[in-house]
Amino acid sequence: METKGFTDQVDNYIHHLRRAIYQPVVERDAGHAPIDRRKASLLLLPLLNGEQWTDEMQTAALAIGAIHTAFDVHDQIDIVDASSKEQQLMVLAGDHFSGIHYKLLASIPNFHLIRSLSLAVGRINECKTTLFQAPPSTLEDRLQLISEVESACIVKFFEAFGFSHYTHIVETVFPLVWLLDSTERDLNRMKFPHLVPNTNDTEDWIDQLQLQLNNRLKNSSYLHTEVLAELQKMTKL
Amino acid sequence: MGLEKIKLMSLYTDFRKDMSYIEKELERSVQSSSPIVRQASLHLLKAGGKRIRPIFVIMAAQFGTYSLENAAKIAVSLELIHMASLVHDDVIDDSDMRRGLQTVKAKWNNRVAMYAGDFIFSRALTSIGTIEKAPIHQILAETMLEICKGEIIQFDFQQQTDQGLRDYLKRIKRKTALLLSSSCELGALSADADAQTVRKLKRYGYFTGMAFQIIDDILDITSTDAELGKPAGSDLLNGHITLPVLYIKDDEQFKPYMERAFTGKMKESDRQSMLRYIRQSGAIEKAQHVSDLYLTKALKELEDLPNGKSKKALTQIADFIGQRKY
Repeated sequence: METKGFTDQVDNYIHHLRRAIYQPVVERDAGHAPIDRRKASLLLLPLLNGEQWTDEMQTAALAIGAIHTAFDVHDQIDIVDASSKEQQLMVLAGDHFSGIHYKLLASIPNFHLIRSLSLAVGRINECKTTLFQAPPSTLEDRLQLISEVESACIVKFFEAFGFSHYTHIVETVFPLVWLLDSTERDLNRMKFPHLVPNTNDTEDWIDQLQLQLNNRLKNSSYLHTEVLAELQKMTKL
Repeated sequence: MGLEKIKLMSLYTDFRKDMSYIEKELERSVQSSSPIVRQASLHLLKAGGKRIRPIFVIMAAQFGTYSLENAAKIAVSLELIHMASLVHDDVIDDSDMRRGLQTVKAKWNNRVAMYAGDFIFSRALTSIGTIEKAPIHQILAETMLEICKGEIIQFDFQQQTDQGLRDYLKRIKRKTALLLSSSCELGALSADADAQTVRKLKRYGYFTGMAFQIIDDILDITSTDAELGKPAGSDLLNGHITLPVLYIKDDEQFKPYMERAFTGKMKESDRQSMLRYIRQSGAIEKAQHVSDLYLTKALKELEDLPNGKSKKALTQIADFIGQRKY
């Protein structure tokens, strides 16, 4: 895959992901599926950093994008009333995206990734249920679960293709951007809005995680300048 | 356990040990570190079910080099996929009861049901993921997508009265027949059965599945609420036009019922009266005839297969499906 700019490569990936998960009825009645650009960038970190990127990795990355989109759609189902047509369709759309993820993995076929991702998907749903129904009492534990929910599939992808040295970055970035979002975004548009801590705790934890990430980035001499700059921008370092 | 289920289970007699192993594997596979996920998953599992997909896998695998371990991985996977789709269907249909028990979404909430369904689905892939045969995964993935497409089409067709027999048959193919067809196909493939045997079993599963769904749609009208564990006529109340309704939808006296069912303006006495009207219209008999035609085709596929306990049981299951009462 030829080297392109950071933005172009993420755009290109999102374009291919949209094509892979396309379903005419869903597109017509529920519109474009939400694709998390930030998450896509972190998944593509090795590619953006100039690592060798094979067709198999590209297909597997699309599979991960499909399952992430499935999660994001299912996270939007109303807790009490999902009777509207749009909500009903979102349940089905999530299942469809989930099926696409399996189809892509089966097409490679990468049995190891099918197994390891299935375990990660199971764990993510356990964590989401815990965060939703019976969240742990400390913010530290909550952030740990949020990190798992957001990064588990990406971590499995990195492990499968020898990119484990990027794992510590994504595991720190996710809880950090969740906290940063809570200071800037409409809470109703965030994941786990009920877990957002008070302002003082948020600031303390942002400082702590930024420090942690900064140290990790300093020790990651393999990161190219452009990638480093993007990560710093994303996490307001 | 209902009488019908006992009758069906008696057909599994020769495979009791294998089915008992699968039941344990099903329970083991939905164990979770999250108590809520575990309870929600076991809730549906314990409610039972006919386990028709697992038994088809086991029986089809007997036509090759049978390995319970391999067949069980597929059987568990298919049953879990079916279960996951039921948990999500209950969110879509806003159903509070299934198999006489509260649904996951009613016992907890929609979000827990979404996560539990996704969890169960992940466990289905964990189970089948240990089989390193590409065609098995490709067939299953394609089947899952087709099932989903079927649900999306069903959703698109909701409350649309200008649909014909072809639309209905396409819909039930995706809704039920494909998974039963794949159960037989994957069971046979797991045992390395020859290509012709795989094809015949796949077709048997497909025809049986079509009949199974038609009978299910008939029972939604002819059974009592208690027998169904949910209100009779639920399909129509949810905007789904099934085969018996397809035969009567243009009847001028029936149209007002349908309109009230679709707009949510149906009272209890009205529902009973609508059910009586369909039952007396001859639509049930016509639908039953179509089901019989599919079952005849299913039995024909078995003719050239070697005799044995599996062929006998598959024949009996087809007969059972044609005669089941709920």
